[in-house]
Amino acid sequence: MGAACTSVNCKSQKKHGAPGSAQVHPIIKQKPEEAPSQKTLQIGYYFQATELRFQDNDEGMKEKLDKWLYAVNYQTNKQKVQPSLENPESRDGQRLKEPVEINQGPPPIQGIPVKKSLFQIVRVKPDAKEWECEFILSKAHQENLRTFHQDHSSEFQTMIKDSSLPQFRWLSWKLLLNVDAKVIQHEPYEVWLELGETNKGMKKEIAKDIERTFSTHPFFSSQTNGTNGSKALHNVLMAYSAFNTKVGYCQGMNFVAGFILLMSGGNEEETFYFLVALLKTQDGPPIMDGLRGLYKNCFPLLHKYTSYFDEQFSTHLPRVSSKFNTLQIPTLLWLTKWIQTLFLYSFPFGVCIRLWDMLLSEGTQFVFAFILSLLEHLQEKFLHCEDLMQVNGIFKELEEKTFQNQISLKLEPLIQRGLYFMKTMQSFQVYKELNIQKNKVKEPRQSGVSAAITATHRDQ
Amino acid sequence: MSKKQFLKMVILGDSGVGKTTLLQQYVTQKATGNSKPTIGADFQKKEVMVDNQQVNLQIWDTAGQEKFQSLGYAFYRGADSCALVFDITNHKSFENLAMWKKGFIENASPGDVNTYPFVVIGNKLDKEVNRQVTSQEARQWCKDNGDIPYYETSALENISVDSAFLEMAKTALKRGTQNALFSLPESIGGAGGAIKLNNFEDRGGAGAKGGAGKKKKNGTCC
Repeated sequence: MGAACTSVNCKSQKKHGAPGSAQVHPIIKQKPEEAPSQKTLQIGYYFQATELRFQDNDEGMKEKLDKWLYAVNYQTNKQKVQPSLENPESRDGQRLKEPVEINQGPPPIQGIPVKKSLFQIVRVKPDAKEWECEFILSKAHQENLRTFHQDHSSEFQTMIKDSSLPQFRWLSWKLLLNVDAKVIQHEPYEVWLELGETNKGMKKEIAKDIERTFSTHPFFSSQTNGTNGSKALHNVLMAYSAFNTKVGYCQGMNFVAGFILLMSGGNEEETFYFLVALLKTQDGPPIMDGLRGLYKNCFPLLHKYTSYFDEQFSTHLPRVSSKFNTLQIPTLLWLTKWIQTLFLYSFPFGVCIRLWDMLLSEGTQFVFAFILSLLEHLQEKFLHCEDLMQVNGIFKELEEKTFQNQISLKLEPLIQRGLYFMKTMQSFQVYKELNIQKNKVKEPRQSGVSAAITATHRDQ
Repeated sequence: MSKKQFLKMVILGDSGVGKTTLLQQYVTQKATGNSKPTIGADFQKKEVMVDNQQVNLQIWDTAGQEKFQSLGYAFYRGADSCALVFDITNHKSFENLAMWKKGFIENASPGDVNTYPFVVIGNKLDKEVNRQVTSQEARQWCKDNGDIPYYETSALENISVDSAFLEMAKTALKRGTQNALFSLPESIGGAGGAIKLNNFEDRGGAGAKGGAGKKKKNGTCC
């Protein structure tokens, strides 16, 4: 490992030493500077717009849009300087029709007056509703959103919790995880990619799963997108395996990375840094538990999470929990998929997008709060079960029905219920501390191990 | 003897050899061939008639990535029969059979190993042109490992899938079941489904280097 690190430094020095040459590794399709183009934003936008359609909740959309309009014009509002807008006609645009100027609604944040906005949205079709329109998210708007996030982080989180809008979601998610900082802290993406490519064994292992990751989605399907989608996913996973050799590659990460790739509009580099940020420990807000522990050898975090969840399960849903105990349902059997793929294995994208809104604004704790909410929703069914097979059947039925969009699953009320559990349940952080203390008292000699665990949990 | 019989069976083998597709084909009589990698473990049930006797099968499918081995064994304990699957177009997956078998024996407490009903399945017969493992080579391995029955299948085109699973059921019945169906081992039993080591510290310690003492090399780091 030591040798590998040296070579990274070595290579990066070379790269940094020749700034003018701007060499791009041949396996990267696009130059990083060009990557976050309007086009990729649109792909990400359309991905979400399609996936979220079935939720079709128009209520309060206008109000939500107003809040977001305020945020992306934040600096403008504050300093009364209007952001310069590029001409939308010049960009990729069969779909782009006449730009329509709209007036902004009332200010969402008290005390700060809003002037008329020059924010431009473009109607996709003549009768499109406001939230169906495409946004021209200029650099200035992005900067504004950034500043807004800095100044009003809790309002920002609330806006995402209340349902982010597809136009702003990717940028917002990046802000929540402070992804930009990761870009600066670490070696450039190309370096990791290049290093990853040297690991032939890893390459084979990852290749096995690429064609089995969301293979029917047009972005990953070879029929509709050639090798573009699969190559991008392959690259991101290879780069990450080199970036964190303790994690390498673990099944489950393919779904997580694939989903991020879709959200980003197919931007490899941004996906990579987002993945890095997502799997890191973050003291918050939002508090992120260092999800890479779900993928390391022996799955340290998965085991801790399972014990933790069992405790919460028996506290908050004692009837179901004792039923599961009686029927000897192994928690790992059904919990592993949900946790290790952050719901992506079991639920359709539209559901996952909303769950990730919550995960990224509330922190990893939300995962467990939502699972409690889900189990509570199904509890009557579970209580009638007579054996392991029936219980497993209910889990499968839930997943299948959700995929067929026969949603008996009313997502937003379940999320709200999850937020209730968030408030009432013991947090994982507290649980972890208590357990470490408990063991210290029991076996004082092991305190060294506790320290090691804490350290391991936090490193990288 | 009209009593219903229960059998627990498990399918082991490298990632991507077609374990999930085999199971899908056997249970639902169709296979799409684009299944997702299995995360953790899963199981399916099927009712079959074996020698005029109704048998309920509970077949466990597992993640094939080596990392998941330590997680998977917890679910295998008490299995009445075990299928070791490789991909005939991937020689490495064949070489790894020994590792899977060894891991199973060490962790799933199968009783007398010599009489344990293993079945070896060489899958992806539909890709015969890319074959890397000859039938002869596979048969020899099976012979050297205690005369394990060998089947070549195509999960995709439903070739010999039924007979391979039926063989498993038959030999398992002959040997006598371990009555494992609803009694999962204590190590993962109950809602306290974590693989129970002594305490929280040990679990973390196994993840942390130099925590719990290292034993057994075979993927069982925990």
